[in-house]
Amino acid sequence: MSEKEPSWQKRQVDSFGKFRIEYGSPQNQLKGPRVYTLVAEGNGKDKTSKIGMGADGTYDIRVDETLNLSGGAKGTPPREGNGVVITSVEGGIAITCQKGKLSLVAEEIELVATKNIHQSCTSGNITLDTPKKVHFKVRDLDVDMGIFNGNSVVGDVVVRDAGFLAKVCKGTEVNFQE
Amino acid sequence: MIEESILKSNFIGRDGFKWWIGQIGPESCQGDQINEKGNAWGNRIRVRIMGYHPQNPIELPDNQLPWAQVLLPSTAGTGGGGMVRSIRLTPGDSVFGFFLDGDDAQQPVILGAFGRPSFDTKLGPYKQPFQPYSGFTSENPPSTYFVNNEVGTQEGAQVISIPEDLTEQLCKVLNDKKLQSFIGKFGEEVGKLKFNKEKLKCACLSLGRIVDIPSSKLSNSKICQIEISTEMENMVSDIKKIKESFDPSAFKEEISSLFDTDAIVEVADELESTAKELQNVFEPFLKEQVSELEGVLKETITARKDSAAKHLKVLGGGLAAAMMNNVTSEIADKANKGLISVGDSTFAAVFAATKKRNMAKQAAIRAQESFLPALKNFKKGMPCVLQNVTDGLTESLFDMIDGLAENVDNFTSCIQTQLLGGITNQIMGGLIKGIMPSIEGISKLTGGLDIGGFLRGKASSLADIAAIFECEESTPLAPVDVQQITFGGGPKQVIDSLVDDILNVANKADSLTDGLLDVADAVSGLGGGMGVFDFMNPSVSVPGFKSPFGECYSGPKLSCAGVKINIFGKGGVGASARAIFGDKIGKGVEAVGSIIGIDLKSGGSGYNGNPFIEIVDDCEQGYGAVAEAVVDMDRHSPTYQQVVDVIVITPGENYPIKNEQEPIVVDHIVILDPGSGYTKDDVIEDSAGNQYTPIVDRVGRIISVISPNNTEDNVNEITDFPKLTVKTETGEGAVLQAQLKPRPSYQGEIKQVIDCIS
Repeated sequence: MSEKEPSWQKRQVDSFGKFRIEYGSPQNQLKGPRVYTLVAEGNGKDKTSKIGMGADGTYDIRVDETLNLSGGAKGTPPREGNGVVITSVEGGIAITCQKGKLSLVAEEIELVATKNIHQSCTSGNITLDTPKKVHFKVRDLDVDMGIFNGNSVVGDVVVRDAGFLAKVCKGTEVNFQE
Repeated sequence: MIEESILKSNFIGRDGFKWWIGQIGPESCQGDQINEKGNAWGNRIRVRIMGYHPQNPIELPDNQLPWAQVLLPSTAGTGGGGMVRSIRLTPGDSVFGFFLDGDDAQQPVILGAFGRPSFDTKLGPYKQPFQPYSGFTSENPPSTYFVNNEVGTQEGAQVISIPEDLTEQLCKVLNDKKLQSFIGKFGEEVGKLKFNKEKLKCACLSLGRIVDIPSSKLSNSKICQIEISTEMENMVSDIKKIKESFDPSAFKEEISSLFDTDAIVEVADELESTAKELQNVFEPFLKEQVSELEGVLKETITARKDSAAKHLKVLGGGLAAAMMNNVTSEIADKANKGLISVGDSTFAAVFAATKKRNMAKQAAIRAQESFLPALKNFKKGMPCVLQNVTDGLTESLFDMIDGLAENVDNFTSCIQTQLLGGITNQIMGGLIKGIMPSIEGISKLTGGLDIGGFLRGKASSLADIAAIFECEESTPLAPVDVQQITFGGGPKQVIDSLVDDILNVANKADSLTDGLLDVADAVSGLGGGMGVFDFMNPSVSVPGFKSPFGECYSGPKLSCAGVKINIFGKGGVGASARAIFGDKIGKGVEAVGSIIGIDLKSGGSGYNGNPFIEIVDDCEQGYGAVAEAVVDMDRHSPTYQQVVDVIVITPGENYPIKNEQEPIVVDHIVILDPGSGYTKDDVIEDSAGNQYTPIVDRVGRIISVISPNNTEDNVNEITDFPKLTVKTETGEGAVLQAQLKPRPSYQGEIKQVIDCIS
């Protein structure tokens, strides 16, 4: 069986040894042919990077080691305010690191959603740790908890323990609190 | 001589043009110029000129060759004004030039270079003048990543290959095919040489890996199940790649070729030594090298397994916590009913005896409160139960990982279900074992609740429903679109093991091990019954393998089903389609081709946007096809929220064509961009020669295209990815796409219409 032989008429390549620029390669990759590619190798195996655009319109940046994206590198506030702006004009933004930690460190962190904010973790805890206060400004606050550990009940706050004992004692007058 | 020098000016342009061809000297003679050390400009290179300089470095050593200036093209800049392009000449290059000083021939200038021909692919280092040698130097050594071709442009644009964005598996398949093809065409020796020059190199080991993007709207247990499956599948695939990257027999062959046995014997004879003695040197060397590589291989595999174990421990803990919540919730419900019943019966008894309602009430509360210590004890013990389950699971996970890595070659859906069933069984066993003793104290309230029965009998124990806020939209799961992507590919449809299937497998495992885990004094770890699963059995990769769980052969694929089109996401269901192949190469079972169209069989319903198209080749040999779905979002249309078209963006190649395909024709034309300036007289033609009529609006946009009637017109069959050309003198910018279908039964051309009614 012979192979499909594409036309190489359009292809241009500029090679600098371990850095190459390629345009118009007719070879198919996982998502079809590439429009252009910048590809380079660092010192040693598995230290490569590739940037480029596919014929399907997607754009990829890939690096074997760390991808650094820095803004405001001059050390003074950028003229436009933000050092880095990541925008998805339509559609979402997915950041995934399944085996690592996603760190967000900032002077101030704002999460603003026009609809919902969901936070969940499949195992482990969610910790809010602050020397000052945690402020909930909500219409209703539903807390569906197993155990409530609180130091004080103040003013109009009513704590309904929805944990195991609360469920068991629901509808009775048993005082299950310690 | 004197006369000659009087007649000659030795000045460029006055004594004629003295041109020459030469070879750039080796790295060792170029000093600082080539390595750009010190203050060298880098545009002077020592060159050995044919006909002027001797062919041996003894008569004229390399380091005494004249320096040649390199003339730069006008587009490269000279360095002035900060404008310059580096010179890219390397040692061994054949160059063409002239002498600035005419016949004195001491001031050569390089005008250009001859590209290197294909046979320079694997050149060695410099040996002697005018022999071809490698352009790689100490500062510019060969790459471990690129294919190290030293070839010029005259061989065509394809000779300098760039590592491909393909999976390792695909690269292997394509390279095997390419090698066989070259050997068939050019014979073994030339074929292998040619293959070495043109073989594919993969860009990144991680390509093809599955990446999860789970939604928080899924339940915790579902997220854990998905991530456990993904981690295990990626691990099996990674370990397969690691194993394939080291082939001891190929390595031995390669090393053996270095120790040419004939040469060994020859040398041995010459030295009056024995071949055996040399062999004694060779054998331990080979053994040592193989053992060293095997050690590295083992370490790499162990590191991958450890990484999986670490991740799975966290995920397994999450799954256990979700199941624990479900169990305690069920116990709380039962206990609540029991407590109310205790209160009611006590109240009734005391009231009957005393006829005092208040006293009866107080007695009822006291009776209920008498269970509080037991209830509190139960509650207190639960975190420990969960911890024990998670700890017990860790050991089993290591065993599962080992079993999978050793025995499973192909991560099939039944292996996935068994894997989740195994983990579920382990968690259930641990929960039952842990909860049973603690629940005895409150058994009067729970009415002898069968924990085992609850866990093993109800899918709800596994499938906890994510909390959904009140007043939220009626289809809260609709926005859950992409939960997985293939790294380097695109959105991937999650292969979901059904909860019932997981539960069935877990229960089957339990029955096969006589409920070992449910017994309070059962041993922990593998004794809990992991051994019964197919992935722990080496025979799982033997064709025809069967077990109590059914047929779950997970070895290398014996056959494959071909291409499948998955349409998923955007809240809809039911759309289905099949691939239309073209650009066909080969015949019968070996036929492969591109996906030139997608035949939509059903538009499904309920799509609130364009769903994702995943093109899956079960045979793992096709690649590069990308398609987009189009959904009708017109509320007044009868096909509202249905998929109405699937457009092929790139057709890819090498997809297996499993069945003989009926003739294909253009069904209709999709207008991706209407362009402007077109007229009604313009004609659209496809690459098969069929013509179409555009309907244009007042500003010349193509708003519709009339296709020939495939049942009446004798249209030309489409065999390749169709390209449409608009023959126009005024229009521009229209992007049209031909949508294909199998040809409907052709009625023949209508020659004459006879009106029988008179």
